[in-house]
Amino acid sequence: MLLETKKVSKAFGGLMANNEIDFSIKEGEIVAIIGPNGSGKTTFYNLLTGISPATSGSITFKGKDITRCKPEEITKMGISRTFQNIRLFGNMTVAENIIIARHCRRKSGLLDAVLNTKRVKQEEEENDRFIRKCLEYVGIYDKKDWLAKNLPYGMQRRLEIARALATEPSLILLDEPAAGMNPKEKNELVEIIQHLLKDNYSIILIEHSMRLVMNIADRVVVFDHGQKIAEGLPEEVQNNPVVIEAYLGKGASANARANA
Amino acid sequence: MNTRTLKAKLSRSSEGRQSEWLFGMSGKATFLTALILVLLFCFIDTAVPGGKLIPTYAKHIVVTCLIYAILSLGLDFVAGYIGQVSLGHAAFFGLGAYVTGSLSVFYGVNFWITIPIGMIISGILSVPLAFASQKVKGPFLVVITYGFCEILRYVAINTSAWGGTSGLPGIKTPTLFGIKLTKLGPTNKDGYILILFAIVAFLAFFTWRVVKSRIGYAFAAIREDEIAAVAMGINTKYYKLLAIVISACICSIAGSFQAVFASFISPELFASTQSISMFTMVVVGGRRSIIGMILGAGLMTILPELFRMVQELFSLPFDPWMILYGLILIVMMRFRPQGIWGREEKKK
Repeated sequence: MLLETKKVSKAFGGLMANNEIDFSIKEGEIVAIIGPNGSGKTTFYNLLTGISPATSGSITFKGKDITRCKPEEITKMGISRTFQNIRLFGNMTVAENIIIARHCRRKSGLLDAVLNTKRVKQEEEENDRFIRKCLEYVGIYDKKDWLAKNLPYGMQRRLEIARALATEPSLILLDEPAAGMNPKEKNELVEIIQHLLKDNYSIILIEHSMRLVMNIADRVVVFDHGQKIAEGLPEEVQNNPVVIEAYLGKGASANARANA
Repeated sequence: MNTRTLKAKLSRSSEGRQSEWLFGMSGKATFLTALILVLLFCFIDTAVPGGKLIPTYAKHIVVTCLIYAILSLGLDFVAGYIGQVSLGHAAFFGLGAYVTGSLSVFYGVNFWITIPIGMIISGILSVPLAFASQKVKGPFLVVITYGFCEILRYVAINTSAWGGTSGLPGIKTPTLFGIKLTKLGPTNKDGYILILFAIVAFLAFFTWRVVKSRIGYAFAAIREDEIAAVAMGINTKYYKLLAIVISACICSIAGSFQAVFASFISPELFASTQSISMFTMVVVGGRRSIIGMILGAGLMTILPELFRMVQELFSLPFDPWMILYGLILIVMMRFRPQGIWGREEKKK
């Protein structure tokens, strides 16, 4: 197992945003998390990345307990994420966004900076390499000198993926990467994700676009009201009455059962 | 080509890098030009026999400009690079001055040693402020920084050893290689001008190197989007602390020089008007611009003096600067909010 959570919970006061969630992902696997809005999917990402620590339960990554780790330690260990509401560094160029993401792999400190040591020069060369590599990966290398906020929407989403890649992760958490995309952009996104899988990255994907999820996910996990209500292959989940009930209400699930 | 692609092309390049140094000159060329100008300014009267080209008064103003340039460069680490507002940086200016003043008056400590001691004390005292900035930002941090500075001001007022409100006079002039700083040039200001110029030049170099380093990019990430910065593996707490400590240390240097230059310290150094004028210099000069900091400090120090001359020349019954100061700030914020030398920041 690359990542495993055991009975992970997150309480905001009396509200259980995540309630005893067991989740796991193998190396090279892509697992989709679906569920209605407010079901705790993004909260779960925040727990995995350490942005808000879990109330109880444990998270292990590469065999190490990371439940109490700080976000920067977790990024360094190899978990990287994108954001549902794009959070690029808007007033900086596309290339500079990648340079910032390289932060956790660089070591130069204040003294290195002032003396412009060999280490700084090496790191700068490496930055250039990563700018090329990551931006070509998502196909926006020609836009590297643009301000991030001036990129078209679809490209901003791709830059988020490129920026996540620049931290050299082994597990990438994508938070609704296809939100607001047109069908053509979605197809391009699917290509990028498939390319990532081919390169043996593991991916957790939160997505509302069912067509996309059913196309590429190895497994689907369904959240509702902070709980994991179903898990399985895409087609299994699709026909699960509990899932249909969560999305469409009781009547719909009764109909589905009658039809089955 | 339609307007949209044109606009995209115009704003494609990063925040106007070309305006970083003066008139397209490189850092080195800017430094050399400034050095020549400063040397000319200091020694032209020695070169020209019986020369009285530059009045001592003008040199006095230049020293003040340079002290304020150090303060602006220091404050810029907080107000510019991590994008927080501080109206309490006079605290560190005052601390530097009080450390240097009291150490040299009470214990006769060498001036050059009091500078690093002041920096260390300012750095340590800025840590609580840094902790506050972990939790709050914007207007709340303004109140906290203001309060912090006021505490120090009241401590200074109420400590009888420091002379209370009347301050502590009699701080000795420092020596450099056995020569008093006041004896280094034709007037008693030239030594200060040269030393302060060297410090400003070093700080400009330091800032320039830091800003384009890994640390500078971490500051930029925090300024742009703190949550994304955390997700990119940046220890935002550490880098905010670092920015505030660097800022405090730099401001303390200016304080040390103010103490020996005026040979006097008083609680006025902690006054909120000091903090506000420092912040004005940073904003007018253009946040995150090194040249802007120096220009801002220069302009906001020289302009009031010029207008005082205008007042005397036309024997006006009032000081025109008092009226123009506010007007300039308003016009500036309306038509050039990024400051004189600031980087273009289009709101979109």
